[in-house]
Amino acid sequence: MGKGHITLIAALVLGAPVLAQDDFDIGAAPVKKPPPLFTSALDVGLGWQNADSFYVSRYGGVRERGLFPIVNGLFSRRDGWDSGGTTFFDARASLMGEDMRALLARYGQQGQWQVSGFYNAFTRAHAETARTPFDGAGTRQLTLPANWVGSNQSSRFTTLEQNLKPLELKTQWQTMGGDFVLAPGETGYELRFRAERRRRDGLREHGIAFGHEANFPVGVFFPLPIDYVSNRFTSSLGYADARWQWSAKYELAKFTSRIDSVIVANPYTRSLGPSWPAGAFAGYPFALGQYSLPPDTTAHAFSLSGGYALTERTRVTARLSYALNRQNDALLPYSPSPRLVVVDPLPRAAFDGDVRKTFANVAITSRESDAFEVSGGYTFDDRQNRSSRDLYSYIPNDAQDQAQPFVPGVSRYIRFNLPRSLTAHKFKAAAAHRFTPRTKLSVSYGSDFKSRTYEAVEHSHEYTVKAKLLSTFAAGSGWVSYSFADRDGSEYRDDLSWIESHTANYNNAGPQNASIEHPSLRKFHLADRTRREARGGLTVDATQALTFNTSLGFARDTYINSPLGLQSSRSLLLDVDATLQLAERVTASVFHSYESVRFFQKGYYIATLNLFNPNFEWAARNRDRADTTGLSADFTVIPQTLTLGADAYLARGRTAIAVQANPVVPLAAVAPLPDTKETTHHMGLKAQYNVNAGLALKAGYTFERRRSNDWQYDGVGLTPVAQILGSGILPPRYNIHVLSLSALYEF
Amino acid sequence: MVRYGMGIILRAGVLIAALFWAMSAHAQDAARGLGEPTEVKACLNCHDDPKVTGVLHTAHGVKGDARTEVAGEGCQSCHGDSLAHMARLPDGAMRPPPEINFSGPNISTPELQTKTCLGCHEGGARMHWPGSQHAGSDVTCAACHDSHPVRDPVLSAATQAPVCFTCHAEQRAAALKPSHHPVTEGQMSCSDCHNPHGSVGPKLLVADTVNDTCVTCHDEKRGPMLFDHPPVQEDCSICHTPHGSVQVALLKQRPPYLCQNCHDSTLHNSQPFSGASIPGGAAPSRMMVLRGCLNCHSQVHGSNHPSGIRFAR
Repeated sequence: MGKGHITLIAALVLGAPVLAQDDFDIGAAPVKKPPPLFTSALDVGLGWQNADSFYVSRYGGVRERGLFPIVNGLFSRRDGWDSGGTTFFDARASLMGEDMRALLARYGQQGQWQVSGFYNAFTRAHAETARTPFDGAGTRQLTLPANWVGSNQSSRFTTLEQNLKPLELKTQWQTMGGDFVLAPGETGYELRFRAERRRRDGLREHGIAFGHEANFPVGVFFPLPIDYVSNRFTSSLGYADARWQWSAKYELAKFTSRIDSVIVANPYTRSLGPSWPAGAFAGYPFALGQYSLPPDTTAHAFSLSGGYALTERTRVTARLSYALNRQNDALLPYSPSPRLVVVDPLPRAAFDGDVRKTFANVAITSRESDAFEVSGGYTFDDRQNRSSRDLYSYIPNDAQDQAQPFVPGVSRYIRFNLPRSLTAHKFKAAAAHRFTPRTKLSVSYGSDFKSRTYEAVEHSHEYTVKAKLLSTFAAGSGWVSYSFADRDGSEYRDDLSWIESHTANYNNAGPQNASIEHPSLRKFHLADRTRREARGGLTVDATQALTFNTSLGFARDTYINSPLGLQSSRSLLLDVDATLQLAERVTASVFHSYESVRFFQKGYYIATLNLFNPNFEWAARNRDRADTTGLSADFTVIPQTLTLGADAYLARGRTAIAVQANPVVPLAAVAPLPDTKETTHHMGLKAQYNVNAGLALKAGYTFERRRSNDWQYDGVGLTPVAQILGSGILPPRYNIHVLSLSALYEF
Repeated sequence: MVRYGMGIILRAGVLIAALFWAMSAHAQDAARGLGEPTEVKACLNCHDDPKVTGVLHTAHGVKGDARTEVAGEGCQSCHGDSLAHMARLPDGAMRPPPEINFSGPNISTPELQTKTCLGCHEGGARMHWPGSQHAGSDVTCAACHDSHPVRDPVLSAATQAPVCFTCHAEQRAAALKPSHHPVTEGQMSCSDCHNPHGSVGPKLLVADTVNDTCVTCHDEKRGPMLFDHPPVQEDCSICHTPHGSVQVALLKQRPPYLCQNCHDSTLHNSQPFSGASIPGGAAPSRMMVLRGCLNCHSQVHGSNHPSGIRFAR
C-alpha cells in the first residue's frame, strides 16, 4: 500500500468522526489495472508541401515546396506526488519548416523557486510578389541603377522593367528570455524577475512621397529595412494571504531601431503638373528623400496593486501606476538633398520627448447577501506630454528649398509640433439582484470624462447604462443585455490644432491662411455620439447527444451632430454552434458565424471657395460582410487503436462600397466600385494508429485554397497611375496541399 | 538576417536531455507507485481514469508543497468532505454526488466553485476577479480550466484559443478573417492581451489601457514622436479592430474612406473616390490604388522627422 493512499484514507477517516470505516465504500471495489498515464511525448516526422507558399504560412512554417521536418516534444517530470519532493521540470520544443521553432523549459522546486527560459521564432510573411528597381534593399541607402531613365510619369520609366529585382517582404520575429520566481513556502511572498529580448528583422514595403505639396506629389514604394530590438525587464514583489494581496512592480522597456533612416533616390524628374519649385534639383538625378524609422525609446513603469477583503464578501482593490516614456534621438536633417537650399537650422539637436503617465484605480465589490451584489469604481488615467515644442521650418517631400518668408513666421511651412496630453476620469457603479441562485439581473452606470490639449474637442463626457439578465437552467443557460451610451463634447474647434501649429504671424496674415479642414467635418472619435447595443446568447443541451449554442448581437453608433464625416455605423452578428454525439464513437461539431458591419459617411468636395454648396456633398456607404462556416468530426474506428478526425472551414469576406455624388460637379462624377472578396477553403484530415500503449503513427492531410479580388491590387502593376511607382504586390491566391507522417512516442 | 536560432535549439536540447536523465529514475519510481493496483480504494479506486489521476502529476498534486491542500486533504480539498458520496450504500441506491462539483448535472453554484479555487489562488493575476466581467457573468474557473489532466489546455498558447472560442464565437470568426493576429496559428494567445481573471483596464486587457497593451508588442509605435497623429496616442482601436478584419492591417475601413472620416480639406482628400478613381476608370487616383492615402502618408503612426508633419517622412 503506497504512502499516499494511506494518507488519503487517513484524511477520510479523520474527516468523518461520526462514521466508522466500515461505513465507507473503500476497499470494496474489485482490483483493476488503470490505463497508463503518460506525461511526456515526442512526435517526429516529415511533411511535404506541393507548392511554394507565402501567404498560407504567413505566420511561420513552410514557404517552399518539398519536404520539411516536424518535431514536437513535450517533457514533464515531477517528484512523486506523495514522495515529499517538489522538484519539477517541464520542457516543450517544436520545429516546423525553416523558420518556425519554439522552446520552453522550466525547472524548480514547487513552493520555493523556479527558473524558466524560452525561445520562439517565426516569420511574418508579407508578400512574395514584390519587385523594386532600387539597389541596396535592406540597407540605409536605396539607389537607382545607372541606366535609370527618369520621367514625370511612372509609365515613362523606360528602364524600369529591366531593372526590377524580386523581393521577399517578410519579417522574422525572435523572442527569447527567462523568468526567475522565488516563492518561499507558505510565507505568501513571491518575487519575480523576467527578462525578454525580441528582435524583428526583415523587409516591409512602405511608400515615400516626393514633390511639392500643391503640385501633384508622387508616391514611391521602397523596401523598408526592419531591424528592431526590444528589451524588456520586469521585477515584482507580491504577497497574498486570505485577506489581502498586494504587488509592487517595476518594468523597463527599451526599443531600438538599428537603422534610423533610409535615403531613397527620387525616380521622378518633376511633377505631372507644374514643375516643382526647386526645379530640376527636386527631381532625378539630384533629389534624395530621407525616410525616418521609429526612434529609440525607453519606458519605465512603476505600479502598486492591492486587494483587501473587508469581509468575506466585500472586497476593495486599488492600483496606482506611474510611467515615464522618453526618447531623445538625434533629429535628422530637414532634407538630405544637397542641392536644396536649407538656411534655418534645426531648433534643437534632439527631440527630448517626455511623456508621463499616471493611472489610478480604486474599486469595491460587495455581495453581503445572496440576493444582491454592488460594485463601484473610479479610474484616473492621465497622459502628460512634456516633450519639447518648437518651430520647424520643414521641407515637404524633399522637393523645394526651405521657405524664406518675407515676414518672419509667415509661411505655411513653418510649424510647431504639438505635444498633446490627455486626461480621463471614469466612474462606474453596478448592482445585481439574483431572483434565484441561478438567475441574475445586473444594471450598471458608467461615466467617462476626457480632457485633451491641441484637439478640436477639449472636453467630452460619455455616460453608459447597461442591463443584463443572466440565467442558468437545467438544460443550459441564456443571457440578454442592452446598453446605451451618449457622448457629448465641448465646442468643436475644427481649426484649433491648425492655429496652434502655425505662428501668430501666419494666422494673422489674412483669411487665406485659415484652416484647410472643412468647418462642418467632425472627427468621429471626438464627435457627439449615441451608441446602442443589444446582445443575447443561448446554450441548450437539447439531448444528451446534442448541445446547441447561439448568440446574436446588434450595435449602432450614430454621430448626432456631424454634418460631415462619419454619420453612423452598425453591426449585426449571429453565431450558431452545435455539438453532436452522432454515435457512440462519433462526435461532430458545426458552426456558422455571420457578421455585417456598415459605415455611412459624408464628405464635401472642396473644388471652390464655397464650402456650403449642397451640390458638392457626397456620401459613401461601406458594408463589410463575413461568413464563416466550419465543422469538425472525430471517429473512433477501433477503440484505443485507430481514430480518425476531420475539420474544415469556409471563410468569406466581402466589402461593398457605394458612393453617391452630384454628377454635375466636375471631377466628382462617380462610378460603381467592384466588391472586394476574399475566400478561404480549409480542410484537414488526420488519423492516428496506436501501435501499442506508448507508440502511435500519425498521418495528416491539409488543403487550403484562397482567392482574393481587390481592386486596390488587381491588375494594378507597378505603374497604376502616373504618380505612383508601386511594388507589384498581388492579392493572395493559392492552392496548397500538405501531407504529414509522424511517429508519436509517449512516455 | 538572424541565423542563430538553430544553435540555441540544439544547445537547449542537450540541456533538456541532461536534465531528463538526471530526473527520470526518480520520476519513474513515483509513476510506478501510482500506476499499479493497490488495496487503497478511496477516490482513486473508482476514479482511476488518467484524465482524473493526471492531477497527481500537476502542481496541484504535490504533497511536498505545503500550499497544495490536495496533498494533505486529498480530493476533498476541492470537492468537499463528500462523506455521503463515499458512504456504503444499500444495493440499488443511487450514489449522491460529491459536495462540490465543477461540471455535470450536479454542478455547484458559480460562487461555491469560485470560492473553492480562490481559497488558494486569490493573489497575483486574480487580484481583480471579483467584479470582473467574467465573474459578473457567472463564469467559473472550471469553465476554462481543466485541473485534472497533466496539461491544462488553456495554459498553452497553441491550445488556449479553442477554449476561449467556446463562448466567444464572434472572436473565433474574426480570427479567420483575412487580417488577424496570429492566434489560430498558435503564435500568440488570447491571454497575451487579455487577463480573463479581471483587470483594471477595459475589456479585461492585461495593461491599464488599450495602447499600453498594444505597444507591448508594437513598441516601435510607443513614441513619443516629434509629430503625433492624435488618434494614435488616444486609442489604437479608433482605427483598428483587434480580433480580425476583412480589411488589411486590422483596419475598420480601408483608406481612403477611413481617412476621409476625419480629413476633408482643401488639398487633395475631399474628392468622392469611386469606381471612376481606379485604373480603368475615368480619373484614376493615386489615393485609391495600393495603400490609398498611405502611399504617401505612410508614417500614419507618427513621425520623428523634422519634415514629417504630414507623415510622409
